[in-house]
Amino acid sequence: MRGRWLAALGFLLLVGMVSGGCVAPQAEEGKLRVVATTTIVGDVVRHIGGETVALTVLLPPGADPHAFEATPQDMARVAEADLLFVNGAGLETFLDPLLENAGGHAEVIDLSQGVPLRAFREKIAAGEAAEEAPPDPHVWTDPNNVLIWTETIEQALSDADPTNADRYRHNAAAYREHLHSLDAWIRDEVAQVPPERRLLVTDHLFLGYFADRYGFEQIGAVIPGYTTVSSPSAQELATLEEAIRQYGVPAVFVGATVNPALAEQVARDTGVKLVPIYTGSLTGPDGDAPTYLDYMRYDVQAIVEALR
Amino acid sequence: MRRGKRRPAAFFGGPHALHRPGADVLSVQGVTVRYGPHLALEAVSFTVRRGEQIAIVGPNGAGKSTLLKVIAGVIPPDEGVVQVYGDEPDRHVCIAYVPQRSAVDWRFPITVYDVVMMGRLRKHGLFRPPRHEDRLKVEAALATVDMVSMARRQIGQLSGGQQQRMFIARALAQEASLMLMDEPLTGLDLPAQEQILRILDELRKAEVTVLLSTHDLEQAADRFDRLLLLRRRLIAFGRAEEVLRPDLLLEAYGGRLRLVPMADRVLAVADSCCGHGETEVDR
Amino acid sequence: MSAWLLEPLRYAFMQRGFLAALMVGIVCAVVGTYVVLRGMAFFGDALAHSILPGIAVGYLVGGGDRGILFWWSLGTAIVAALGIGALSRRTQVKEDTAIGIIFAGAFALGIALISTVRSYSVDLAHFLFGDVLGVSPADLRLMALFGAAILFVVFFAYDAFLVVSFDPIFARTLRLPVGFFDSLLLMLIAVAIVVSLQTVGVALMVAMLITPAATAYLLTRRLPAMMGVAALLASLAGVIGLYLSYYFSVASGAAIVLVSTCFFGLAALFAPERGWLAARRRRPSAHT
Repeated sequence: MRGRWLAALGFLLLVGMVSGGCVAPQAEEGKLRVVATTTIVGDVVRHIGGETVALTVLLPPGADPHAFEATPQDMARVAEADLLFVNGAGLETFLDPLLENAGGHAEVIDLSQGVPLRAFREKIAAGEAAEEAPPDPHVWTDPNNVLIWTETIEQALSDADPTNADRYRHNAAAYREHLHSLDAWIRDEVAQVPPERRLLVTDHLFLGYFADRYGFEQIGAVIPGYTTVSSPSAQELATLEEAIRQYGVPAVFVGATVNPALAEQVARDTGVKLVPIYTGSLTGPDGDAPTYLDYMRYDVQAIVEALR
Repeated sequence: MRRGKRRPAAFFGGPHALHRPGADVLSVQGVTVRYGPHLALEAVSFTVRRGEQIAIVGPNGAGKSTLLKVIAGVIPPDEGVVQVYGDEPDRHVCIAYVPQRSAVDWRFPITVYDVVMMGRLRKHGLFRPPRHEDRLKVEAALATVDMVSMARRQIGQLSGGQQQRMFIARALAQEASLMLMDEPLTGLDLPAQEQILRILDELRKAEVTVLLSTHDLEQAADRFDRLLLLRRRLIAFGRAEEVLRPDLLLEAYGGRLRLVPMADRVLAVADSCCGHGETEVDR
Repeated sequence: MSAWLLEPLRYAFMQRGFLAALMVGIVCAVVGTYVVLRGMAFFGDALAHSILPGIAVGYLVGGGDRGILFWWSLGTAIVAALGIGALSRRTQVKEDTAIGIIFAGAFALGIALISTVRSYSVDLAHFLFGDVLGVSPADLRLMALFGAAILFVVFFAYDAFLVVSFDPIFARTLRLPVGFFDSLLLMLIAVAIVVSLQTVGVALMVAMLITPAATAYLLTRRLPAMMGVAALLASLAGVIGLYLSYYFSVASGAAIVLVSTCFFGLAALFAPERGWLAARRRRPSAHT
């Protein structure tokens, strides 16, 4: 009986010692293995990489980038990847521990490099100095930032896979055309909204870059701060409702990733309209916003409709 | 709880109190025990000589169990002193205590053999495994109580009598000098009781001092050197004919008692409890 | 078939997850044997929940450093174990109510503290439900060290624990320091919980402690066998649970507990003597 114990002990100790990393799988011949974090990043990467890369997107459609729980399969994909494209600027809080633990040899491409980041400032947030606020990570709401993404992506893909560099350059150029068209179209749409009505109240503050580029103002959000995983205090909700009444805001824009009950309550209390838009994620192929371009068009149309 | 000066070595094992030469096996002086406001024992005093077998008798609630626990060192007296071989019982490991049966989880996954081996714990040391000698003693104890064939059974499979014999075997395995048993015969049928009484005869030969409590006055009178009649206070202590007197029994048992004449004496047989009411004295 | 078995093992994080699940399963099964036999399931659950404020402080103070988290959890666990133990000893009857109030309050305190951090929900989920895929080599070493220490103490004090658990009054007549061994056992449970936190989290911890041991109880007759079978079942549940988690993308802690519970269900039905079917098959007149 006691021998059994010593055996168990020995086993445990042995097992504990052999705790270093073991052999990681080698990259197979063939396509470049690429992982993207959000659906938006993934969409842009797909347009540039095309069929030449094997792309996996970590977050499924509708998932919240701020609160993400990796499954073993996700970690396996990361472990095997050659390139990992991330939004950066603090959007993916789950990323560091994930990367540390998954192991593997992926090169992390931070798409926020080269993008002029804005600090978080917000009209009703009292006394927050500009330099203290963290950077706003929702860079994609301004297509001009996505233009910078395409350069970074093209560069990274070409470096990792020089044989297909021409293809990547071609795809990137084509996509940039679309982005330019999108930018022009947005300017036309937005012109329909009188300046005094260009006030945005959302469920969380993700439209900062859009607001800066196209002349809007983020008045406030149901959830203060830029993350969706905190809950507002009673005081914060009250302040928001006050601001809505004060500025005469006609609509509150909410996405699918945040608990709608809070936004519904604010809308009910202040008598404004609740307008659904897409915030941090694209939809599936059958939805309204399967690609980034569709996503932007849908949201801008909804905003303009509501505020016109 | 009055801990006393406990030597560090004695915490886990190591030498315990020696038996002082010339000291009585057991000396109880002025022992009083209270459970909250309730007085369980009051100023009980007596001594027991080596090798004696004493029966403790008295009605329910008389404090028989309490007295045995105090002598075993399981509970401390509130007043008074108990000395075993001249020292506090707390410092001895030569005292075996067999409580009333119900105190144990019968579904515990151990066998009869395991339970009896527990009695050897102090002999082989707390952190050392049992030796060959210990195994021999366990087997001998099991043989004495006639439980060798049951040794590998899980304890839940035992009958009442077998359970009792198992605990006695454990006490035997301890090689104790002083055995304290709390109603070992209660609830057993006559053959089972006889088995246990035979073991007591064996113990007498080994000069082990025994105190046990019982409800059966006839058995007590028959097989034991002295009787201790208890009802919170010591009513009487001595040989059967000195103790089993109608007036003393009346004092101990209160109301309900039947006196049955025998050839050379009158035997008092107690009914279940200590009630108020008339004494029936049949002559 | 073998490709299917081997695929998850290609990844270092899965290998570490398996090792963690194995170690934790074995340690919890051994300690859990005492928890089951002594009727301490409620205590075990209360203790696991009471650790949350300590984790929270470690989380806030260390900012996610797992080492700091571990030591804060350990300290809190030991204090909580001794405290709850003292509480249930002070009164003759176990004070279920008092323990319940205290552990629920401590649990709420932990949640409140953690929620002061704006991005807390994922981390809180990890503390509550485990994060076995997040086990790092350093975590594994701590688990191995303390797990081995626990097994060593159980091995060393085996006889003492046996007597103290089975018959504390007899233990007292042998002049064993019953209070000491009771407290030691409480501390072993506390350390086992802390070691296991990363695999199943606070909310599911009690299952790791009691389910394999309870299953083994139905299948064995002697204590060493019970511990061995419990350890085996826990290891199996850990491995199978992780495979399920890998192939079906379900939370790993929950998967392990579900497998363990299935084993218990099977044993409850089919165990040779103590199972439900066996009891039905015995004729009503026969009586053990």
